[in-house]
Amino acid sequence: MKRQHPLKMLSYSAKNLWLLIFPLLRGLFSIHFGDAKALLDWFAGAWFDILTLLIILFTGYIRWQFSRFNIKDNQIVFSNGVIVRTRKVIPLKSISAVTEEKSFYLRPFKATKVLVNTRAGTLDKDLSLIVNEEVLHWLRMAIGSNDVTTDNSKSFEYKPNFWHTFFFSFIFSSTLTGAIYIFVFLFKAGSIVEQFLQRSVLDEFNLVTETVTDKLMLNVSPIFVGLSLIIAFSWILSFITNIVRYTKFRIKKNSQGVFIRTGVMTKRRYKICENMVNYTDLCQSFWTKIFKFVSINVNCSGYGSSTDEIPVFIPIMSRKNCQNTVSAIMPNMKIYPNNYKPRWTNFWRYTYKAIISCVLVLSIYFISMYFFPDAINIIKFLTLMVELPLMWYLIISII
Amino acid sequence: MKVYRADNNCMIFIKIIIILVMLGVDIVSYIYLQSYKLIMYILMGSITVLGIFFASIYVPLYFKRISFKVSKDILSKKSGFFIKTNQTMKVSSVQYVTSIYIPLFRYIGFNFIIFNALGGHLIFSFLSKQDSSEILELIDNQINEGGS
Repeated sequence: MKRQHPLKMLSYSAKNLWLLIFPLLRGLFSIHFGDAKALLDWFAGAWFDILTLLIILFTGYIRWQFSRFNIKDNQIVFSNGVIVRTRKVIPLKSISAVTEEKSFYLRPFKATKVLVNTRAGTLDKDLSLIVNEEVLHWLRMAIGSNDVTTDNSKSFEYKPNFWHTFFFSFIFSSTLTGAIYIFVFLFKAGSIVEQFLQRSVLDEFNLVTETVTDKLMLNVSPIFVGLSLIIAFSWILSFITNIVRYTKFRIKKNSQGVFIRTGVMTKRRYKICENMVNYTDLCQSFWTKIFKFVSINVNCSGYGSSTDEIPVFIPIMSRKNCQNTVSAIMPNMKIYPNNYKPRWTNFWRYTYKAIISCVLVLSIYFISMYFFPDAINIIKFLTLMVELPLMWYLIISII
Repeated sequence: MKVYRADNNCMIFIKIIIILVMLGVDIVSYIYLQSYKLIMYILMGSITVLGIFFASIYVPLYFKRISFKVSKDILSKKSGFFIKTNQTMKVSSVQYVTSIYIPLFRYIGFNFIIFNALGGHLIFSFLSKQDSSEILELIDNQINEGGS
């Protein structure tokens, strides 16, 4: 039976460890190390915390000792637990996807996180291990997730260029139009509702937003400039995260299976069993439809199932080339042309929500204008800001 | 098809634990709530009634009603006290099996098996050590022969 990487001990005790370690370190750094008396005084006050810390680490060590795994009779056998023992037996043929993650903080210790998934209906990964390089190579050979093969006749490899990745990250970072809309909403709303709001922001936040406001020579409340900056920043963060995640993306298919490598800060490597892929999903947003691009995703248990992952096979590709690519990666999956389209008589079925919402907002606008003529500016602004996304929703429904 | 039942030794152990917890809470209440006689009597009374109900009625009936059927193709579980449930799962849909046990209490029925299948799972609980090993071996053989 093999053991996990010693780093796993920290994950077994991580929840409790950090509650103690920071106050201890803070106390330790506040004293002069050359002063023996100060050191003794510190120890006299912190001995209980130190003892608790050692017990937590020892508990993590004991749990690590009792966590072992092996591959026997075409099954992964994983034993875990000290008092309540669990023994998980996963047949190799049940595995749908294997993920290897080398985060930047694991790489100096030559540790890799291995996640094994099956098609079982569990919310979490079926098996999660942290292993060293030697065990990783052993696992790859045993599970068959080694992407090196001597038979290159059926190999296929695709690597998108940087601009494809850039465009893909741009499109799939939050909602581009939504972010612009919120930015404009807050930007414009500040000038109208400023007199009704109290200024209750933090001093530092005020300073930043006032500085930005002065530099841009804007006539709006710094509060809304600040909120707009937060929205814009969060979109930029999402965009950078996607760029970092999907840079160096490449997909390779050979006799061993389908392999995907991606990422810079956290290097991820996926092995997907193609017979475990439920379906392919050709995704097109409004913008990619205009430029005739398509993103090919798949539905496979264990690949892209977490909230910050997109189960992408091909990030961006022209529509006319996607059939050949899909056939090369998964010969059993074919893209068929649409034989059936909804009738024109079903137009209402697709658009009724958007149309009713638009009409409702306009009705509320006219009623509000009649009863509150003094608040004409606010009413017009709010109506415009609510009507714009509803019109966008109507256009998308029609398309 | 073979029918398995929950281990009676486990039932006796759980009854003893319930009685002990009930007595413990009663004693602690008696010691610390002397100043609040009404609350003390209410608490002791309700804990005692609940303890007797669970130890003498609920747990024995639960253990009597729970049963597991295992065959080459089907896994089935009947359980429930107020609401009776009957779960059935095909062996061919089982993806992997997890067994849970407490080493110190393996011989008094604290053995559990979780069958993780497509879209859900099935739990066999309070099995004896022998039954648990037998079921695991049977299912392992089925899965290896191509059951999934």
